Amino acid sequence: MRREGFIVLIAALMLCQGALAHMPGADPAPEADLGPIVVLDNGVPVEIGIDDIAAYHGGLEGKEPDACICCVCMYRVLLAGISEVWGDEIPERSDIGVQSRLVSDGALHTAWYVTGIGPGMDAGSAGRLTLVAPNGSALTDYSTQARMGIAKNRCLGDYRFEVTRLSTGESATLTLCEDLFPEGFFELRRAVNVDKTATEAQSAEFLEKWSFLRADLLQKPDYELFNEIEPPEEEEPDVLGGGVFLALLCITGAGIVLMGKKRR
Amino acid sequence: MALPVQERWDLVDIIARKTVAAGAYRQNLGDVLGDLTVRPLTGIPVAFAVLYAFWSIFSSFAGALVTDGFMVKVFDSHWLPWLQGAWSDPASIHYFLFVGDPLAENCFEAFGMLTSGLFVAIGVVLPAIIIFYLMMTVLEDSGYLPRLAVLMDTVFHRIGLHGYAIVPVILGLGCNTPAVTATRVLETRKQRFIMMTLLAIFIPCGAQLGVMLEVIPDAVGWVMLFLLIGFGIFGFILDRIIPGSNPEILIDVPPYHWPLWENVTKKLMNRTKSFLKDAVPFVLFGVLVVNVLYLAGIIGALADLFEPLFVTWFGVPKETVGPLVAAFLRKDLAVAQLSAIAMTPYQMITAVVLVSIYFPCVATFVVMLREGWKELAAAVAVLVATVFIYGGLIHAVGILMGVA
Amino acid sequence: MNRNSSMFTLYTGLLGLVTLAFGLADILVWAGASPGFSIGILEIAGGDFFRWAWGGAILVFGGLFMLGSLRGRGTMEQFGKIVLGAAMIWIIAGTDIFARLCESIPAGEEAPEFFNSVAGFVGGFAPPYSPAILLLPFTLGIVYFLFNGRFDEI
Repeated sequence: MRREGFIVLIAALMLCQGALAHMPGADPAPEADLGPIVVLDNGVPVEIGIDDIAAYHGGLEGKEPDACICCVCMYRVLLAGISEVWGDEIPERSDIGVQSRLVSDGALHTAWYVTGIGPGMDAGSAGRLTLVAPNGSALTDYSTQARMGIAKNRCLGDYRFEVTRLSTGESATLTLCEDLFPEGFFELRRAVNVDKTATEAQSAEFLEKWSFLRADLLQKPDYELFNEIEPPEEEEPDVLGGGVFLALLCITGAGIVLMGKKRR
Repeated sequence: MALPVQERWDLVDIIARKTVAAGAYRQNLGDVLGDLTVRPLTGIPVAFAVLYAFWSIFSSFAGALVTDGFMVKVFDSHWLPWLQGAWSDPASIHYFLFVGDPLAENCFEAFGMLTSGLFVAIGVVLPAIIIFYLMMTVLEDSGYLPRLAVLMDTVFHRIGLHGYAIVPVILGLGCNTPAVTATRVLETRKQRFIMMTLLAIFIPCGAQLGVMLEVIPDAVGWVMLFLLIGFGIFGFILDRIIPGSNPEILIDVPPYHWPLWENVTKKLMNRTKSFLKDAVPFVLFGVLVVNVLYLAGIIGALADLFEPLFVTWFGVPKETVGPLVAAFLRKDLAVAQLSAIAMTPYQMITAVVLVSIYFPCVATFVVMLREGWKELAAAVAVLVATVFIYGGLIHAVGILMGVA
Repeated sequence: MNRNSSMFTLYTGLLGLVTLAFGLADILVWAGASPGFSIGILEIAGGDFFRWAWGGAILVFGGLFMLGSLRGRGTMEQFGKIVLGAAMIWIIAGTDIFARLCESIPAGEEAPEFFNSVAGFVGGFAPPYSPAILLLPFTLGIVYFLFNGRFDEI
């Protein structure tokens, strides 16, 4: 009986390992505590996490849930943009306007999901999304083919976004910092994804840089990602509070030591 | 001249009357506290509090103050850039062996003998070991350790040991080498074998704890939990399959007293000195050997060979094979190496647990060999089975929880 | 039971209750009942299992020891339980203060210098404080009785 139990345990273990689907290519996304984007859908608060975005994007692409660089980038733009424009208020979904020069699937799906206008969404209200071509005009054709034509020549300038409060017209423009992108990132991307001329070593290098960039986008604070956001001012140390505490601690400690000596 | 029995006893009485003074016993607060700390109802919470203090002081001193506060800055901002600048020819073999990666920005990732090797030995392990041995000596000299042994007796009997097994366990949290020797406090061969095997597999040493605290601070609790569960499960199994007895013991519990600082200092100095004598050469030599193995392509070949086992069965990247080879030389070194490999948090926890339960470091191996080659061979056999089953089990738990 | 004794019983009971309540609050905040709160100079951050769940449990035991000492007559054993309860508070508060000390001495990762400025060091001990630190002055009564050996009068 014991031996059978042991065999069953090993068999169960093997089944578990076999059920795992391994994702080749990029490094797994590191853990990040970004917090959710909170919007009101007809007055009802809705929390949107990066995992929801990954699932939606994966579903539309017919793949495993995965938050690619563009998903994470748009997520951080919306988190920071909403915070800049609305402050502590929670925006109504229909009041959110997004303009993006980044026209990739990941950015589009993320913006769709947050504004509630994407396919398969069960949103009660919807905001507005505008994709912008490199010449500054609004795109009218959102088909994959049309967007791929623009995406071929992706460069730093494409990482420009505007989050608008439609009811008041207030907006925040956000652009990604240049030093986020590893050296030669866009050239490698073109060779690997567009021209398909990359060697194996170049592909591996691109994957490594891609993973590095995604980790930064997931983990760095807003002021290290966006040119427009200032780092928080360092607080002056509370010397009085700390001094009072230390004084009390020292006096009490000395008192206890003296009491102990007197007792002896 | 021999005295008759009666006269001898009379003489004893006369001497005793002249030399022994008897007074009325008056229970003092120390006696009461001594009693309360061995009674399970009050003693177990106190043991939890002592362990809390132990770990909190360990991580504040070794982690926040010495390593993060000073050593990281000394090594990463001063030592590493100076060495990278001063050492000629970054493309050469000697640069790779001694300085490591020329593009590395910190000593953990450089992996040269004089960068990672020195940083791990002096910057991370030394403060961890000093504070660990200091606290351990204080507990020992104040009289708390025997009380902990009494408290743990029932628990340890479930895995075929007795309360004094707490001594090698706590020593093992500092360094497994003296802990293996300390298994001699146990009575039977069965007990000594169980303790030695469990020590080699499930007790991470202070050096490893220090590095874990540095590279995966958020996951240390999970790693320790997995190791603790494994300690219980495999101890229970070993107790049932290994023949032999598990006798009761009598423990002499001294009253509580303030430790004598001369004794504490002396013990601390001796323990730290002997640890440094063993550890520093092993860490430096370990980095050198691992780098040579990398250069010779042996680690790459091993990684390819074991890839199916590691990726499918344990759920960790194949790059973890290198650190596992290094783990035989020094486990702290292996954890440091793991930190440079891109992994999900759960993969990192699994990999660190694997490093912990994998072969004991070479120093422990030698001491185990001294205890008997048969015991060592049997311990290694148990260890291989444990790594395979427990590593797979952790991966399976991760899959079922949806995190692996 | 003399006046001293009833005053000390009241003091121990109140201290035990507050310690128990603070310990439970630590655990509840860690468990997610609140995202962490700060009122005046009191703060329970609640993020870290080790500090708030484990540490909170130790405060709970400390409170229970003190409350447990109220049962029965004032014996040496009862006072022993009170001292153990207070020791639980001293352990948590002591390790909290030690952690602040260790974090306040170095200048920090970003700063080029090694040691913190005097202002930075002193500021490291500024409020808000954990519940255990705030309980610390209230255990001085126990220290007084402990050092004066007057526990047989209570």
